[in-house]
Amino acid sequence: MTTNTVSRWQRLTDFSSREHFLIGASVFRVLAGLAILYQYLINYGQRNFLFGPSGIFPYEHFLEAVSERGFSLYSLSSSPFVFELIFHAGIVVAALWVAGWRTRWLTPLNYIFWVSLHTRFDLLWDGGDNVMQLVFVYAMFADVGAYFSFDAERSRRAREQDGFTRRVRAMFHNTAILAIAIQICLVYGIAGLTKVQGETWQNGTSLYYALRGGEFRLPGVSEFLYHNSFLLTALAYSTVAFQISFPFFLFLNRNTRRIALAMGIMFHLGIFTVMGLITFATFLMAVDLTLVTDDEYRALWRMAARATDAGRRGLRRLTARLRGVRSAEEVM
Amino acid sequence: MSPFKTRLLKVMPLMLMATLAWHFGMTMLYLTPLNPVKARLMPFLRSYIEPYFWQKWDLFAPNPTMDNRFALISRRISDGRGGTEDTPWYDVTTPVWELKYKYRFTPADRLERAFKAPSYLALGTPDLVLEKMKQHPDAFKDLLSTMGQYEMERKKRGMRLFARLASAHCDQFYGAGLTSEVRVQYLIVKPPPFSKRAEPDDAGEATVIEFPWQPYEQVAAL
Repeated sequence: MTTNTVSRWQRLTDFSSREHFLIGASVFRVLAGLAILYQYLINYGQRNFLFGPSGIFPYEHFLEAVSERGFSLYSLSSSPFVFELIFHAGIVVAALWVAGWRTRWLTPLNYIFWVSLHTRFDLLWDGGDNVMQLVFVYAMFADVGAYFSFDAERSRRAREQDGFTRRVRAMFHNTAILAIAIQICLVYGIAGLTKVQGETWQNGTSLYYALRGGEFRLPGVSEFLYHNSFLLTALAYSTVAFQISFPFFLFLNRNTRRIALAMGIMFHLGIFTVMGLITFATFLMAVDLTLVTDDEYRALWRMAARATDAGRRGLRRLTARLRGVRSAEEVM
Repeated sequence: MSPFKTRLLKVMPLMLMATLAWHFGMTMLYLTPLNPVKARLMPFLRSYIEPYFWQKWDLFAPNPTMDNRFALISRRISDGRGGTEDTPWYDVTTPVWELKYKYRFTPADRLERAFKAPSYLALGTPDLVLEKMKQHPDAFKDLLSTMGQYEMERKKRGMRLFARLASAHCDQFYGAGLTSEVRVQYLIVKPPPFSKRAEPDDAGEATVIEFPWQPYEQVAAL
C-alpha cells in the first residue's frame, strides 16, 4: 500500500473513532419514541379490540403467523391479565426510552415490545412503521442517549475516555448512522422510481386521487388542493423529483444534503397536516433529523437563541415606546 | 493499547463497511423488480431479509389507491316467534372517517385500517408476478397449485375477520351476545376521474360485494 493510501486509511480510522451525529441520534430517539408512545396511548381505549386475546384478529391465526413473522411477546399467553401486563410494560419501556434512561438496554427492549405489538395484528400498520422497524435495528448500535436524556452525563464521560472500547463503540455508532442514511435513501429512491411508472404520477393527477380518498382527506384543504391544477401538478412532480434525487443529494455535498433534509421535513410536515398520517410522518421526520450534523444543530440553536433575544429586545422597545406615548398624553 | 487492539481498530472500519455492503446489497436485490438474478436467489434472499428486514416501498405507487371502501353490516336475530329478522345495512366506515376529520389525533386512524383489513384478505391485492405465472399454467403448475391453496386460506381468514368485525359492531349497537348471524357488504366507490373533479364523491363508479351470512363471534368490545 502507498503512503498516501495508508495515511488516508488512518484518517478514516481516526474519523470513525469519534462519534458523529450524536444530537441527531438523540433527536431521533425523542421524536420516534414519542410517536411510539402515541401509538400506545391513542389506541389505549381500543387495545383489547385491536390487540387483545379476544381482539378482531383471531388469536389462533396470530399464533400461526408469529412463526412466519418473527416473534411477539403477546404469543406467550392468551390470558387477558398477561396481555395487560405486556401492553402496559410496553408503555413504560417506551416512556423510559424517550426519557433516555439506560438507552443501551432500552433500545433493544423497546424494539421487542413495539414489534410484538405490531406482529399481533400486522395489517394495521403503514410504511412509516416499516421504516421504523428497520431503523430500530440499526439504532441498537448507535448512542441515542447522548443528549436530552438521563444518560447524557454518563455518555459524555464515556466519550472523554480514549480507550479501545470507546473507539469501537464510536465506530459502531457511526456505522449505524450510515446504515440509517442508506436505508432512508432506499426508501425514497425505490418509492420514487415506482411512482415514475404510474400513470397518475406521470400526468400529475396522483394527489387528486390520494386526497379524494376518504381516509386521507382534510375537509376544506384537500378540496382546495385538488381543484387547483397548477398546485396539484407541481406537488406531484416535486414529490417524485424529491424522492428520486434524495439519495444523490444526501451524499453529494453538505449543501445538497441540507436541501434534501429540508425538503424531506417539509414533505412530511405536509403529510402530517394534510393527510393525517401522524406516526408515518413523525417516524420519517425523526429519521431525516438523524442526518443533521452536530455542528448544524448547534448553529440552528444559536440562530434560534439570537432570534429569541432579538424578539425579546424588540418587545421591550415596543413596550417602552407605548409607555412613553401614554406619559406624553397624560402630560398634555 | 495492545498491538492486537491497535491492528483491530485499523481493520474494523473495513469489516463494518463490508457488513453494510453485504446487508444493503441483499436489500437492494430484494427490492428490485423480478429479474433473473433475483429469481435465482429468491429463497436465499427471503431467508435473509424476512422477517426482520422485510420492506416494501410502493408508497402510493405506482398509483395511489383509487377507491373508497365502505363496510356495511347487517345482523340476523331471532324474532321471538321461531323465525329470524334481518336488520338494515349499517355503514361503519363513514363515522370513523368523520372522527378523523374532526380530530386529527384519534384512534380512528388504526380503527379504519382494522375495518379495511378483512377486505385485503378476502379480496386480495393485485400480484403482477402471480398474474404472469397464470399466463403459463403448465410451466408453473405446482407453484400455482400452492398459491391457489394459499389464496383460499387467505380468503377464509378474511371472511372470519369480516364476521368478527361485524360481530363487534353489532355488540356495540345492539348489545352483547344478542346476534345470531352477521353479514358484511363492501361498497367500493371510485372517485370521479380528474376531468370530472367538480362532481360529488358518489358520482364515481360503485361496486357492491356482498359476503354470505356467518355465525356471530364474541369479540372484545370496540
